[in-house]
This record gives sequence, C-alpha cells and structure tokens, in this order.
Amino acid sequence: MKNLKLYIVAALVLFMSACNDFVDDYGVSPNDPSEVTPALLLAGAEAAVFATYNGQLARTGNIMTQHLAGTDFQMVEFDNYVILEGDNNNEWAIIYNNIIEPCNNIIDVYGDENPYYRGMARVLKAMGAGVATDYWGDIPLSEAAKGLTEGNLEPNYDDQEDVIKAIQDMLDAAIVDFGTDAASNANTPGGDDLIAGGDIAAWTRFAYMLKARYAIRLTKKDKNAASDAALQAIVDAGLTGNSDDILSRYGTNGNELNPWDAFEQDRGGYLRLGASLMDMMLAKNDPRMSAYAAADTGGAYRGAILGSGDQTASPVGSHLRATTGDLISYVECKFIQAEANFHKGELTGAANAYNEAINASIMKVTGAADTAYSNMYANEDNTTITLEKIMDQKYIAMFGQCEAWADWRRTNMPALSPNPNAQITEIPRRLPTVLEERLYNSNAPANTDITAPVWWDE
Amino acid sequence: MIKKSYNLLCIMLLLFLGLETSAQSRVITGTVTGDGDNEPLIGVSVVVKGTTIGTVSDLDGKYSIAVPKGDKVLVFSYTGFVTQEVTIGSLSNINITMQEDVMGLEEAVVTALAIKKEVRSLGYSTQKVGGDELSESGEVNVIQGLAAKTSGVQVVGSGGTPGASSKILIRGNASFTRGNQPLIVIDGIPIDNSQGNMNGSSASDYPFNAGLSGVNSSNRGVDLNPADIESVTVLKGPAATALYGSRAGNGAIIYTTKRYKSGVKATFSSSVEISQVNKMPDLQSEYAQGSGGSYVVGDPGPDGLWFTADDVSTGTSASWGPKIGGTGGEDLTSTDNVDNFFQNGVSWNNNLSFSGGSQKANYRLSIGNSQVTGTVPNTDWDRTSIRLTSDVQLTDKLKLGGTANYVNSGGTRVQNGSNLSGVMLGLTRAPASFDLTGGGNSNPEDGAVTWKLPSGNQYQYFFPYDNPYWTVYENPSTDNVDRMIGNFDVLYNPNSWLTVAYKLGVDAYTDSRQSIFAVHSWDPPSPTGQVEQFVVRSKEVYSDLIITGTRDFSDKLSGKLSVGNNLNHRFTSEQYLRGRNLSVEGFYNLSNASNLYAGNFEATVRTSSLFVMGDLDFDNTYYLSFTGRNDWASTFGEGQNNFFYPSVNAAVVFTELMEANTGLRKYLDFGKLRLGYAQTGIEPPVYSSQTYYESPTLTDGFTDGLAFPFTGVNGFTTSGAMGNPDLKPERQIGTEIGVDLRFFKGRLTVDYTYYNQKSVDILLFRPLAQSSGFRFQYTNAGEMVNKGHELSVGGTPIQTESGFDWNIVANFTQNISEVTALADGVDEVNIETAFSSIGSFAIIGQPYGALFGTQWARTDDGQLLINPSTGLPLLEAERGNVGNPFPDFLLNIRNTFTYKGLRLSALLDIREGGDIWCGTCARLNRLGRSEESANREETYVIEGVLADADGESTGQANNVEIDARTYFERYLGDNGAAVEQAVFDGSWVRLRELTLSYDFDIKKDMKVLKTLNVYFTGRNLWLSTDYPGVDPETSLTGSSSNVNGFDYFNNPGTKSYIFGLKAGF
Repeated sequence: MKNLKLYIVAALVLFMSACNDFVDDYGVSPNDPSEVTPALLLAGAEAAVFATYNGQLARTGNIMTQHLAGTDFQMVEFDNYVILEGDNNNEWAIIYNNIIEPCNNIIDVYGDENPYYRGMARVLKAMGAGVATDYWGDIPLSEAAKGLTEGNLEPNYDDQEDVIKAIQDMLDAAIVDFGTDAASNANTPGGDDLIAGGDIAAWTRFAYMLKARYAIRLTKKDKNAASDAALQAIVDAGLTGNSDDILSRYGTNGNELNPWDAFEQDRGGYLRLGASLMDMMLAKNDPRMSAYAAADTGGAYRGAILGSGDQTASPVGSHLRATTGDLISYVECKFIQAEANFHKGELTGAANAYNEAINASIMKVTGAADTAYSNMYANEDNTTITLEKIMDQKYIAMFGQCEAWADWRRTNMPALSPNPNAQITEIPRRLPTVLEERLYNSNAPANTDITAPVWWDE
Repeated sequence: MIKKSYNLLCIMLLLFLGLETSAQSRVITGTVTGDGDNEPLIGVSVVVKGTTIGTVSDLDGKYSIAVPKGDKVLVFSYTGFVTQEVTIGSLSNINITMQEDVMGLEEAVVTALAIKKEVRSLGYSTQKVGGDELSESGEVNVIQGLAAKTSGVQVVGSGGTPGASSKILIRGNASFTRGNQPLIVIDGIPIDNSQGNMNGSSASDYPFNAGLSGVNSSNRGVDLNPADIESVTVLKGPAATALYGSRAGNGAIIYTTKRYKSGVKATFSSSVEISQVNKMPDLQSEYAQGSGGSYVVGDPGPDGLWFTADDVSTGTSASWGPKIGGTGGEDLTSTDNVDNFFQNGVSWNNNLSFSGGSQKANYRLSIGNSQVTGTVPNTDWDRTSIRLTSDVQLTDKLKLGGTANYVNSGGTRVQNGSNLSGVMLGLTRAPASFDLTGGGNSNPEDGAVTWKLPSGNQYQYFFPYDNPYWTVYENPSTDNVDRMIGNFDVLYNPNSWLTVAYKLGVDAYTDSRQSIFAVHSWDPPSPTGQVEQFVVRSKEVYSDLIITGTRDFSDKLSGKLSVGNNLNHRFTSEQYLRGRNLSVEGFYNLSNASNLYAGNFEATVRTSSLFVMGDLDFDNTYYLSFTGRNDWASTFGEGQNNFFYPSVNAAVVFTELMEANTGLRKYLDFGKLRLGYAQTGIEPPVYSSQTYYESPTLTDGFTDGLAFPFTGVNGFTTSGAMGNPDLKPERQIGTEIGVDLRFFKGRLTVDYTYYNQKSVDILLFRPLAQSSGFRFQYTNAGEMVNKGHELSVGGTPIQTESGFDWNIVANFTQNISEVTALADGVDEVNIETAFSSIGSFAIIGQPYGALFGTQWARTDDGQLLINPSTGLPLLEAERGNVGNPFPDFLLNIRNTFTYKGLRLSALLDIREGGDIWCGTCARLNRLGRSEESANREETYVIEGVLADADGESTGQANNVEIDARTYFERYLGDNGAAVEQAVFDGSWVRLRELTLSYDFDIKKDMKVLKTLNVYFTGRNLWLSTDYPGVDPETSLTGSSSNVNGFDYFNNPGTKSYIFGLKAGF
C-alpha cells in the first residue's frame, strides 16, 4: 500500500519531464525554409512585377482608357465604373508582399555584399511603388513592408509628391549600385534574373528609362522641369532601338502564362477591344490591328461600342498574349522624348522622336515596316507636330499597358467620353483605397471617390 | 521519446501485475427477474463490486459467479433497470428482482476519457442517442445520422451526393479559423474526422479556396459503420469535455461500439434505399438562349472543334433569346434538362455480425457493406467494414480487450460549386432551347452518346461550360480509403479500491484520390486534359493511463480520485501530383502528360498531458466533481509550451431533500439542479510560430496566376503569414446551469440547460494592412460569447394496458453568438477566403460568421436610393453585414406510436432563421434562366426613392421604368447588384424521418431465428421552406470549412425511401 503510493508519485514525477520531452522538437516546419538566397528572392519579386504590370491593373486601366471594353461579369462592372474597395486587394497585396517586402529583404540583408542584387531590388521596388502611386495616389513607401523587421504593421502614407521623389532617388541609387565592379559582388545574378539574365547594362538602362517615365509624369505640376528631367534620362539611357525594351518573359506552362493569355483562356467573354481604340486604328488602316485584336464573330475587326457589353466584337489578339510583355519600351521612351521636346518648344526633336516611335511600334508589333502608314502618319515635322498627335499615337502604342491610363489622366488625350450607362458620369481617375487598408491600417486615407484626381493629376 | 514513455507504461503495468496474489473464492448462484411480470431477465450483468469479475444471467435468468474471499458486494445492472447492490454476507444463493428504471437516471453514460458515470451524479448536460436511431435513419454517415436528434447540436449536410461530408456544431462555433468540429471518440480513442481537402487537394499553385469548387469529399467519420454503434453520447460543453484539454473546445461525440451480448449469436440486417432530388431552383422553359431577343447557340462549326477557322459562334451563357416557338425561335423546342439529368439513386446496405464466447472470453465480429449510387449519374460511394472486438477476463483482477477495424471506402464524386465543370452550373444555366443530351442516348453503358461530337469534343451551348453529362462520365473524381482503427485496453483491479486502466489506440489511413479532366474539358486552364493524384496519409497514436482509487469515508460520503497520463502523436502527409497536356485522349497516367507539377506537405503534432479528477458523493444527494489537466503541445509557441485546464461541477438531487408525497413532490419524482464550470482549449495550428519563406503564387483572382518553378527558375518570398512566437491555445470558458426533472413516474421528463461559453484568445489570421509586407499574422486576439438554451422534453401521453404507447421527445436549441473582440484596430475579420462579393466574417457586435458583402445604399428609414438616370439602386461604398447564416432556433419533435411489435415514428425538424446566400439564384436571374425572369415582356420600377447627384434622397418615389433584362441582371442578378439581394431566409420545416417498423413475435421455441424486424424509413419526404434554391440544408465548402450559408451551384439534396429488415439468430 505504502509502496504503491510511492510508485504512483515516482511515476508522476517521471511523466512531468517526459511530457515536456515528448513534444519538444516537433515545432519546426519540414515544409518551408527559414532562410533563402538573394537569387530566390529576386526571381520571386520579378515574377510579382510581371503579374502586376500585365494583370488586373493593366486590364482595369485599359478599360478606363477604353482600349478595352468589359463585356462580361466583373469586367462589365469595371466598364460601368463600379470599382469597389474589395476589387483590387490581390494587386495591392502583390505589390507590397511580393515586390516591396522581398526587395527590402534583399537591400537590407544582402545589399552590402551584393550591390547588383541591391540595385535590381531598388529598380523593382520603384516599379512597385510607381504603379501603386499612379493608381492609388498617396501610398505607404518609406515605412512600407517593415512589419517583420521593425514591427510596423500600420505604415504611414507618404504624399505622392514624396513617393515620386523617392522613386527617382531609388533609381539613382540603383544606377550607382550597377556601377560597381563585378568583383565587389559576393553573388552575381544570372538565370535567376528573369528580366535580363543578369545583364547589368540592361538594368542600368532600365533604371534610366524609368526615370524618364516618372519625370514626364509631372507635366501638370511643372511642365518645364518634367520635360528637362525626362530628356536627360532618355539621353542617359543611351537608347538604340526596340532591342532596348525591358520585357517580362513568360513560359507556356499553366502557371507561367502571360496573365493576358491566361485571362483570355479562362475568362474568354470578359474583354473585347474598345471602339475608341479600334475606330482610331480602323480610320487609318493601322497595320497593328490584326495583332492587337482577333477577328470578331463576322471575321472583321471591330471594337465594342462603349457601354454596349457587345461580346460579338473583336477579342484581344496575339500581341498581348505573347510570351513577352513590355515593362518599359523603346517606343514609350521615344514618345516621352517627343512630348518633352514638344513642351520645351523643340518641335523638330518632337517630330523626329514621334516618327521614330510610330515606326518602331509598328516594327515591334507586326515584325515589318509599313511604308504606306509611315508616309501618311509618321511623317511629321516641326510645322505639323501637335501634342494631340503625340498623345493619340502613344495611346495606340501603349495598348495593354498600365502607363496608358496615367497618360490619359495627365493629358486628357485622346478625348474620351464616359460610358453613358455607367453608375457615375465621369471616367474614374484612381482606385479606391483597398478594403484591408481601410480596415486594418488606421493611417490609411479611405478614399472612396474614384473620380478624385491623384496629386500629379490635379 | 514515444518509445521511452511506452516502456515506462509497460514497466508500471508489470509492477501492478506483480502485486497480484492468488485468492480463494466461493460460488454464489441465483435467478434474476423483472419487477412487472416476474419474467426472468436475460443478460443482466452481475459484477463483484470493485473488481472486473462478472458474469451475466442466462436464458432462464440464472447466474453463477465466483466471488473472491474478502469481497462483500454484488452489483446487478441491466439497461432500463435500476442498478442494485446486494451484500453477500453468508448467502450462497441470491435471487433478485430488478426494478424498472422509469426515470432513466441509474443508467451509466460514457463521459470524457470513456469514464462511465451515473446520469444522476452529473453536474453537466449530456445526451445519449441509441445506435438504432442511427441505423434506422438510413444515413451512411454517423455524423449526419445525428441530425435533429438532440438539443444543442446542429448538423449540416453538404447535399445529396454519395459520401458528401456532414458538419456538426455543438453549441455554435468556438473558433474562427481552427476547426469547429467536435472531437470524435470511439471506445475512448479519438479518431480522425477531417475532410483532408484544405491543405493540398489542390496544388499550392492553385490560389483559391479549394472548398468553393471541386468535389464534396467525405469527413472521415464516414468510415464508421453505423451498425457497429451501440450508443452515442454528446458531450456538449467544456464542463463535460474538460478532460480532453486542448482538443475539447468544440465538445466531443463519444461513440460506444457494440460488444458481445449473450443470447443472440448472429444478426443480419439489410436495407435498400431509393433517393431522389428533393428540391431544385425553379427555371423558365419559355425563352431560348441568346441575347437581346435573338437566338445564339455555341457552334464550333463542321469540324466540331473550338477555336478553329470554321467556328460559327462560341455561344452565350445568357437565355435572353427569343420565345421558344415564337418569332426568331420558330424551330426551337423546350427541354427539361434538369428532369432528364437526375436519376433515382439506389443504395444497398448489408450487415452481418457474429458474437460468441462467454462472459470471460468473447468476441464480436461484424461485416458491413454499403453501396450508394447517387441521383447524379455515375456517382457512387461504397464502404466495407470488418470489425472484430474481443474481451478476455484473464484473471480475477485483469481484463483485456481489443478491437481491430478495417475499412475500405470511397467512390466516384462529382464536380460542384464554382467551377466550369460544376454539374449544377452547367445544368441549370443550360438554356431551355438546348438539349444537353444532344437529342439521343446519354448513358455510355447503352452505346454511343449524343453529348459527344464525332470530333471527340463535347456538345456545348457555350464553350467554356462543360456539359454536365461530359463532366460526370468523362471527368470522374475518385477516392479510395484504406483505414485501420485498432485499440487495446487493459483493466486491472489489484484490490477492491484501486483500478488501473490503460488504453492504446491507432488510427491510420491512406486516402488516394484521382481526379480526371478529359481532353476538351474546360475547367483546367486549357482544354488539353489533366490528371491529378492526391494521396493523404494520416496516423494517430493515442494512449492513456488512468489510475483510480475509491473510498467510502462514511456511510454517506464516498469519493473517488484518479490520476492519469495521455500521449498523442498525429502525423499527416499529403502528396499531390498533377499532369497537364495529355497526349493520348482517354489515357490517364502521369506519363501521358507533358506538364507536371508536384507538391507535398507534412505535419506532426504531439501532445502529452497529466490529469487528475475527483468525485464526491454525499448521501446520493450532493455530488461534486473536479478535473484538472495540464497539456504540453508541439504547436504551442515557444513562450509557454504548457497549459492547464480546470473544471468543477456539482449536482444536488433536491427531491431527496423534500418530504415525499407532499406538495409538488406528489408529481415530481426526481429533481436535480446542476452547475458546471470549466476551461478547455483548441490547439493552435502546426508550424505557425515562425515566419517562413515560401514559393509565392501571384494571382489576380481571375486566373490561376504565376507560380514557381517559373520557366525553370525557382523563387521564394516571405510567406504572407508573419510568425508568432507567443502562440497559445484558444480557451473556452464555460459555465452551465440546468435542471433535470422527472414527473409522474417518468411519464414526463424535462431537462433544461442554460450555458454561457466565452471563447478567449481565439486564434485569428489577424489581417494586416498589406503595406506592412504581410497579409496576416496568426494571433490570439479574438473573443466571442455563445449563450444558449437547451431544452429536452419527453412525455408519454398515452400508455395503455393493451400495449399502445404514444411517446413524444422534443429538443429545442437556441444559440446566440456574439463576437466581442478582435485584434486591436480590427473590427471585422474574414473567417475564410470566399468570393470577392461575399464572405463569412467575424464582426465585433455581430454573430459569428456573418455574411459580409455589398449592400444597397438606403435612406435612414431603409428605402432603396435609386439612381434617376439608370432606375437602379445605388450601392453602398462599403460592404457590411448582410445576413446571419446560423439559425435563431432549432426544434425537433419525434412522435412515436407503438402497439405490440408495431412502431410508427415521425421526426419533425424545424429550423427557424439561418440566412443563405443563393449565388445560384442571382446568377440564374442574370442569365434569364430563373422562372421569374420569364416575365420579361413588361417593364419594372424598383421600389425606392430617387437620389440626387450627391446620392441623397430627394424624397420622391422612384418612377423610372427599366426593362426586364436590366432588372434581372443588375437588380436581382449579380451584375453589379448588391449581394444582399440574393441573401434569403433558410428556415425550414421538414419531416426528416418517418419510420414504420414491425417486430415479429418470435416463438420462444424457435431454434434458429430469435428476432425479426422489418421497417420502412422515409427521409426528407416533406420539406417546407421559402428558400428559392436547392434544399437549404446545404454546404458548399463541407465540414472542414468554417464558411456557412453559401449556395453557389451546390449539388441538390435528396429525399429517400428505405426498406429494411433486421434479424437475430
């Protein structure tokens, strides 16, 4: 009896420590790593940039600019300017979780030893912040994506003016990074760099081209300064032709598809070419038409009339569905050069850049020059060039790109009328603050008025 | 470490065995009879008190038992009779008359850790369901079989497809993101009841909630054969389940299986069930496919292939075409595709059992087979179960028992919900002008089918919607589960006051699933075919050791103290393989694919605990119990890896304190007041305390998105989930109070419980502003209260000498939940990813799981604000609560009439409230398929007031006429309409079960046949509801999901007719 009690007590004491030992060492996941390399982070961030620039934001922007018409389901709602706070959570999340966070990680953890990776991370971060500020206005940047490192879960929003400055600063810093010796890099990028395969010269050019894009963005604020900065960046970029293009590169397997192609495959009825774009192209018998659009149900090329929801019109064609997509192109830079020259009164320079931009665009899209078209429409000089012509042609050339909406908001060219059947009577000029930000970041502005201009559009 | 601990256990057992000494004994004999008719009672258990020594009375009520010297008391017990203790003294022959237990209070119920306790002594509520009720319900799933049979419990099936999962909620939901399913325990051993489709039945490159589409897989509880169940005890609140610690937060369901019984040596039961779809949304049959009144139909041209030069039209999903037979539709005829498609499901259920041996060494062997075919063609589900149980009384002091159960189950499932292959999606959207069968034979068993074109392509009205015939015959999803559940138990009584009980259980299964999408199917991203293989392996090892001492402190005061240890090891692995771009059509092996994807996931969870429990009984009047359990778990954060769960409960039989036969006591034979308080937990998920890197999937919600490996390169990003080193279990703090009353000698029984369960430290994916770089962090931040009333009333209004009885049992359940706190600064969290327009949320101040979606802008007095230029209501900019998917109350009433062997029983099931989003209805309105949308020759004016340019009310009633299509698409449909428009009340009244059964009066001298029963059960024969979709007992996402109240092309429910017989030999 006495012994028995003793046995029980002894057993319990043994069990106490055994219980703890029994569960120890089972807390760490065998499924996911706790440490990775800058190469893996870079590839992740680049794919996120691809998803951002060729995904839902590009589609939304192109519906606003009437390059495209939403003809089914959710895209019809965008066509009717019903854009709600829950509609773009994924895009916002990809920018912050999958571009800015890993870029911060590369810069902070691996940057000092790997200036090339740091420079690339800075350029990609500028890409992420750029499209975010263009679509949403004020955004978190200086305090963004520091949840893990600094515990900041509710970052402050920076004024757009400061965001644009920060973008230019990041690009400048990246250019310095790219100027270092390969020898001062512990690791050098190669195949993990989906964009340029580790070509540092291409990345330097990429940074300058982006500097031009974000310089010309400020024409409503200071036309002169914007034009000067854009022209300088174009010069520094040292452009030579379409081979300068910085492209997103896709595969042919399910999760490597160009998002435009995946969207057309999965959501065939949702988008048709817009009549605003198609009518401009039809009027000039534009050779890019058969690449931009597929034939409609009657075998012709035809855009859906604004607000018609007409699914019998032409669907998206092969150009946007290719295995490459533009992140920033030679053509865009030539249009920037044309516009900046025009603002500066350098009309010959403007006309030359304009003519070159159109010819390069046709070559890029169709693979061949079109002399007839060039003679008619890419044949301007200092007496005939106008800002309308520049922006109208840029509108055609920038089909499918996020940049198109920013250009239209900045210039109001080409003249577009709002969808007469829409919920609101103006074409939207921004996206509403995303749901999660409104709910979980007390510093978020909670903008719901999508017709309010962002700072550079004021 | 597990080995070491088991060794330790073995050593302890040996130590106790060593204490055994041989004892002299004497033999006591006697006869047991019942009090009413003095007939001998067969199978009465006779046990020497404080030992495992026992026997049962034979066919003549006689028994004989060897009693060791020193033991003084025999205990006689028999189901339905009052247990009696008799002091042996010098007697060698003891005849006894058992008193019928009219109150049902002496009965022992199985409580947590398989400990049996008298109902009378419990300080908390439990409820017992007999095994016959499960088997007679005709449900193959022992979870679904509990529907509408108790109070405090809500069972939600997933619709009538074979093997579909059933979800069960006890006293509402306790957790936001962890499971809300109770612990399922069989003979003291917890088993796996997961659904296994949330982690990886989809590839990690599939970014959506896999539950929203795909097939309805089974909850693994479906592997239990209802014919093996003796009884079920539902342990509802923390007070009852505290001894399960971190696994008890959702209550527990304790199944006790059948074991050897003397008398009947073999049983055979067989039933056949015919099931039919019981409710479908109403569809119009007047208007053809098309748009703007003109007819359009998908036509891939003469070559029968899409996206070739000769394509005529891709078709349209809309039925806004011409009137069938009218202008523009002269050549068209109307087809009832729904009626053509569904069939009668026929199911067979056969069970055979043998048992034999003696009270000292015995066995029971059962073999069960169920073959279910569905109302959807080519769907089925089978289960074969073989179960052997054996008990051996090795010595006077040592008893061993064990069970081995092998189960093979699986079937052919059907696509459901939000995908292009969803059967209901393709079927109900199909225009009336289009015959999905292609006009001829639709069943491949009867020869060539007309829904397949000569090109090999399917016959479609709209290119991306798979023809439902194609889906069911060409794209089967199959699963095959091999499962072994075994347990072993030892009971040792070294002396009259001490018992040692040890249990070891293993539950291991492999679930192999294959899903095929034939070439020309539209659900995978491209119609090039796909084969998926998904293998889940699961293993759970459980052991517990309980040492119990009892002591009588005086004549009136007795007590019991137990200490114990529990070890648990759970391992899951999931392997997923997918091949796309199949080269040879109709051949489904990964070798046939040119694009392969593989993924795997594995997890091990270990817990260990020490526990103690004590019971005090004073004068059979006052009862006090307490328990304490300390848990260690590998899932707890590093901050604190062990937690303590206490409980205490008390009961007072106040009728013992009242003077007999006076006042109320004249009618009230028994009254007990009970009170319980306890804390239990829900463990955190595995591997959530650290931040990891993962291969990102970058999606926009419309496509499957970009994922790695990407063009041969791998990539990683920090996972969207920030780790949390302070993770701890969720805690349920429950208080309950109740009374149990027995009036008129048990003719009227009333059991009432009020409970208040506070859930604190609820784990939630605290959503983060994504600008922090993360999407969420798993945090113990939520708080919620569930309060409710449970009332069970039983009565026997008529009981006649002639044998005619009328019995009523009613159970009432009301649970009110309120979310009281979330993380700082968070007012609402998404419980689980759902649709972009509507989700299931926890919102402070609102009930759990509120439907959260887009809503109409309204005036202060609730009128719609109408846009004067469109005639349509304006949308509110922000989303909000648009409905509560949980019922206001549940009430089930069973009336049973018996006359001699004849029994008629009707179970009425009433659910009041419980909103359901009918996404199906909204889409069918939009496409012009709903019956209502046939009224399209008129214009509509939406009731509301006109808004001015600022969206404020002008006070003027809306007078803007809109055409029918705009009305059905943009107001009643889902084209920009507020989702609240499609949220409907899911209340119902249904005749859940109607059973007519007859027990043949078998003559005693019959040598072979001992019992014979035939029965008919009708399930869901009558349903009354205002819900416009399918049967509102529906769940899109199944039992592993916490999303409730979603109906988006869910498969329909069924009603069925079951004929069965049971025979004993």
